[in-house]
Amino acid sequence: MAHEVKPGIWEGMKLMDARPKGDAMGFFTDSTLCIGCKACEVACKQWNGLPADGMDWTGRSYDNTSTLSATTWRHVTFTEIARPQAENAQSPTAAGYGADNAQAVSWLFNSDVCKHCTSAPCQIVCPTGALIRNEFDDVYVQQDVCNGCGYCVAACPFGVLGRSEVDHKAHKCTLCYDRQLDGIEPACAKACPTDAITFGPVEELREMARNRVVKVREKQPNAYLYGESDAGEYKRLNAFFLLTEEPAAYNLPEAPTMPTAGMKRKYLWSAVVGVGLSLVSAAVLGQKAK
Amino acid sequence: MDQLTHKKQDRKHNPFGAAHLNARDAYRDVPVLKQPTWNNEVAAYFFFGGISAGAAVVGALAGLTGGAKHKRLSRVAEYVSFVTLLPCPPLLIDDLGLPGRFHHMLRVFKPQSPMNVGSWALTTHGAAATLKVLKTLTSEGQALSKLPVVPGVLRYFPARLVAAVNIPGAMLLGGYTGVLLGTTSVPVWHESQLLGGLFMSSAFGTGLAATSLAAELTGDVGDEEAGQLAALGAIAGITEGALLVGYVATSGESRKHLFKGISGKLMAGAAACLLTATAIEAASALAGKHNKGASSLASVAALAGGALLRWAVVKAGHASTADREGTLAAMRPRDGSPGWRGA
Repeated sequence: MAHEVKPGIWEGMKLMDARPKGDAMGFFTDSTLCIGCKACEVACKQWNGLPADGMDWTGRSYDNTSTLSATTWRHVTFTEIARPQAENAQSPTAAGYGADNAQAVSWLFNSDVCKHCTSAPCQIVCPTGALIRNEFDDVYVQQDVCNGCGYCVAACPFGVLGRSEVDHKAHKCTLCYDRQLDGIEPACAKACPTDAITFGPVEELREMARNRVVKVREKQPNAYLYGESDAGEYKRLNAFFLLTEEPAAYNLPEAPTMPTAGMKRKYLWSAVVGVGLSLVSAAVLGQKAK
Repeated sequence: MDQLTHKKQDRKHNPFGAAHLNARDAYRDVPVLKQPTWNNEVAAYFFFGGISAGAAVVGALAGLTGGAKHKRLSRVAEYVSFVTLLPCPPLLIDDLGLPGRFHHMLRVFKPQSPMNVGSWALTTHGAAATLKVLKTLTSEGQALSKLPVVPGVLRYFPARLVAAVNIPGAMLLGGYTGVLLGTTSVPVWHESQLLGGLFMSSAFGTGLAATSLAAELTGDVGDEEAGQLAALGAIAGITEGALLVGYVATSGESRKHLFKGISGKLMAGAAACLLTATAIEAASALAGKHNKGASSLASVAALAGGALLRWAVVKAGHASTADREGTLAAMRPRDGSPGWRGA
């Protein structure tokens, strides 16, 4: 095989032949189809051999996972909203509630995952090159290279990456790189009973999502696509979402920070201060004796 | 997991169990960002790395501009730079999840990653500072001049070449730490453009202070030199003060974390130390008198101020990360970042 590392010191140090790049692959997660069954969470843990996170009841909702982490690469958010009665009259979610309900509760679910950003801060700042963009245009942590510096953890504006307490390396969704290499869809998408998670070439998914959001808006006028398009300095996401409430309801930032934005200016300030103080020092220290 | 547990009183106000009137409250106790893994060790590394870098620059400049006049001062600065360099690699490496893989950062050169740039800066500065000290120690009449082989090998590294490598490496080491923190999503670290400049000036100030203190203790500083160092200390202190004010002013709403809790105390201490040091240095520079005690006190205050500043900024980053609403506010749609949201 062309991409195999050859044995021997010098041969091994040569760059591997990159696998040919194919279509960018990603996820489209439609929160309006999600029923909160957590099959994706379980399938992900099972396929990737991830340990359980313990029995910590949050008391917040049926969501006892709370966040994505080094050991949770799919996470179903539960957002329960108590809506005023008047608003409920038009809400399809509350249609089943009787008139005696002063307020009714609507439940929003969303299956959160690594966004596989096309301008991924974690990949940009990784000092070892462990974080790469693979041939499926997905962001992948090479476990044999990662040295656990924690930079990606602080850089990710979505709080996706975590550093494991067990092996001290950074972990996150691989978009089932191993399954993709074998030509099968990721475990979460495979397990999703309502097809809320769709896996495929990102271009096709975007097309599909744009059609879907028009349809959903007939009943839920607030529906929108999160991450389908470029948003200024933060570029589009390869794993994007259809949502109906503001991003904060799903614990997502509305306009994520691009950590590397302004980096050159930050270096410049540092250089200006350093060179300036050096010149002053040279002038002062070089003074002739009075 | 304490932060994830709902407060009991919420239940009283909300008869709908876990439901919220405002959808954004559903995850109000879950931070959007993950806590940085960088803590005390990194703050200590920033501090010692800063001194080492600052002292290297001061020493090199003294050697270049003063020639024989500043020879002793320049030599003291070299030793200070080398000694304060020693704790840096252990502190940095121990902070890695896998310390044995430190060298993975040196298998690539990746300018877009400040940490990669920093590991190269530490390596070049470390090598140059070590070579300088070795050259000094093995020169005529010094402790190690009788050593076999080594002096011969060191002759292949001319002093000017070592200095040429050392100055840019040291400058980068002094300032990159601020850029490193600035290149994250943590609001109080990211928002301002000035953190790199602030850490650079602090590196310079603490390097100068450590050199001055060591020179006072060993008696390697003349009266005229002491006056020059005091003037430089005052200038570095004023620069640092101005940059600190600028950093706070340009940090947006997240600046509140610099004044709250442990960071607030550390920052108050840093400001007090910086003011004390600068006032003493300025007074002795203006008076033109060399007072060993006053000079040493100013140096100690400047060093303490530099340490407290690094800790305050690192701790503020943790508080800023834990502040969910603050993070969401920093990630509101803004110029150049319209974001994604509903109608």
